Amino acid sequence: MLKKQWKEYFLTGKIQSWRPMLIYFEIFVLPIYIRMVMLGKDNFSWKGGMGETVLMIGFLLVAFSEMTHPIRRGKMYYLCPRSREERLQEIRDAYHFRCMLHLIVMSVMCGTLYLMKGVNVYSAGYIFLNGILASFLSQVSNSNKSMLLNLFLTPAIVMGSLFQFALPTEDLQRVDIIFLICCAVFFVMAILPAFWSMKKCIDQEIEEAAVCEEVRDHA
Amino acid sequence: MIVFSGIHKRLGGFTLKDATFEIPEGYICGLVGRNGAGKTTLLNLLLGLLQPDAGSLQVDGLEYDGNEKELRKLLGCVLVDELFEGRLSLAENAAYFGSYYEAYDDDLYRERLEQFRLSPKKKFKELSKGAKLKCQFAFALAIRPKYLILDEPTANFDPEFREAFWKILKEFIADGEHSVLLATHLTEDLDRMADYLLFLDGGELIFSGDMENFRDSYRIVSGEDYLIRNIPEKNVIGSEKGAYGTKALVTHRRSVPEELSSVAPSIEEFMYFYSVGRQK
Repeated sequence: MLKKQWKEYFLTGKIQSWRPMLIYFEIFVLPIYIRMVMLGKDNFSWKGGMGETVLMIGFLLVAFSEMTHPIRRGKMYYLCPRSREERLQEIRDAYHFRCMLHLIVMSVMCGTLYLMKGVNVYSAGYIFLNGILASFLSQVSNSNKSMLLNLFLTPAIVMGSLFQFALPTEDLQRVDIIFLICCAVFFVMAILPAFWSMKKCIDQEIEEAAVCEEVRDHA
Repeated sequence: MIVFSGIHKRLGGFTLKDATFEIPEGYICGLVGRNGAGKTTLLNLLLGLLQPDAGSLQVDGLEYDGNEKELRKLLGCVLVDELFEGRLSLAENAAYFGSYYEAYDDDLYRERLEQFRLSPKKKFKELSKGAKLKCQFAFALAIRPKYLILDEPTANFDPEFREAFWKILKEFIADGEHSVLLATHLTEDLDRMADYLLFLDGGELIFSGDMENFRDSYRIVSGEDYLIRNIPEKNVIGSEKGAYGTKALVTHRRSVPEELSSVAPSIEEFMYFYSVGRQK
């Protein structure tokens, strides 16, 4: 099963749209770069810089994977003998496999950042949270739901990235209870609904991808 | 047998109206019509890439609703769109998509590629337009379908290959159990090879039937203009006055005066005079 997914992942990838790369650059990579700049000359370390760079590469790899592997398949796939249920299952499996690959990449990159720069566990946690969101994102059709997703998710992630600036990088003593409450409120108010919204949107996209685009658009 | 019953499909400003016809086994069926007549819409409906708004479509008694998998096994297609993955080789493409077909025959695919002078190692995106179609044609044959659905492939084939292409189609239908539906603008080949004809105009199916019936039903008559004007108007589909006389497409051969010369129309003549008559 995994072997088949692995083979299919590498056989069928092709650049479908540059949009994921732009979105990822805007909401994931840019904040990392700004944070590096804001650290300033005095606080900059080569080790830390390398850790941040590794993280940026991680986000870009995931963006590239999403660029080349949208949920929807090419026309030939819909001409092959498959029932709607079989297509639905195959498309869902392929999406889950891709998310798993992304999560592995993001875990390795976040772990590297944590080890190399020595960011504290809260900071690493927030960065990894963004990594999880990035791993599950996917190209979706231009429906209202995808608009809702982008409108909702983008500010949530940007706010999450901004929070990273406020988090202490080395001194855990500076983390007080008010700050932790703020983080928890932010998580419940922004991150969880963002996850929920994204899940619904992706489920819808998978359902729609089980039917050929032409059939769906003209139905 | 492919059966369309009262198929109706609206796409933007275009409507395919009440398409009703049957294509039996053992036929090469030509699908002709001007650009925008509805040929591709009809093929997309048959391939399940579009759903009809009304009417029913059956292939060997199977409908897409509930029997999609079984029905798709019966159909092989070559479309103008590039169906294969560009960065994969021809062999990789066939191995990947062939895995979805129980009847896929890799030896036959490679045999056809060799016959078409295509290397299985070559990447699909590196092929010319005609070579891409040849490759898709080889794959369509290798899945051993009962019906071949071909959308305008011949225009991109060189004359030498076109002869081989027709030979393969003749072999394909020779057992009387397979059929080909071929949409094309190159009607000369169809005049020679097709057994059955579907003619679409403006989304309406104007003619559907075998070629014998087609040749019996219509005549191209030419001669003095006054003689042609004597033919009952309802029998004249279209006419054109030239420097040396008038030529017309008529429906009923018995209505043709003996003084006029009369021949069976070619598909191209039929399409032309039909369009002339419609403009008037």
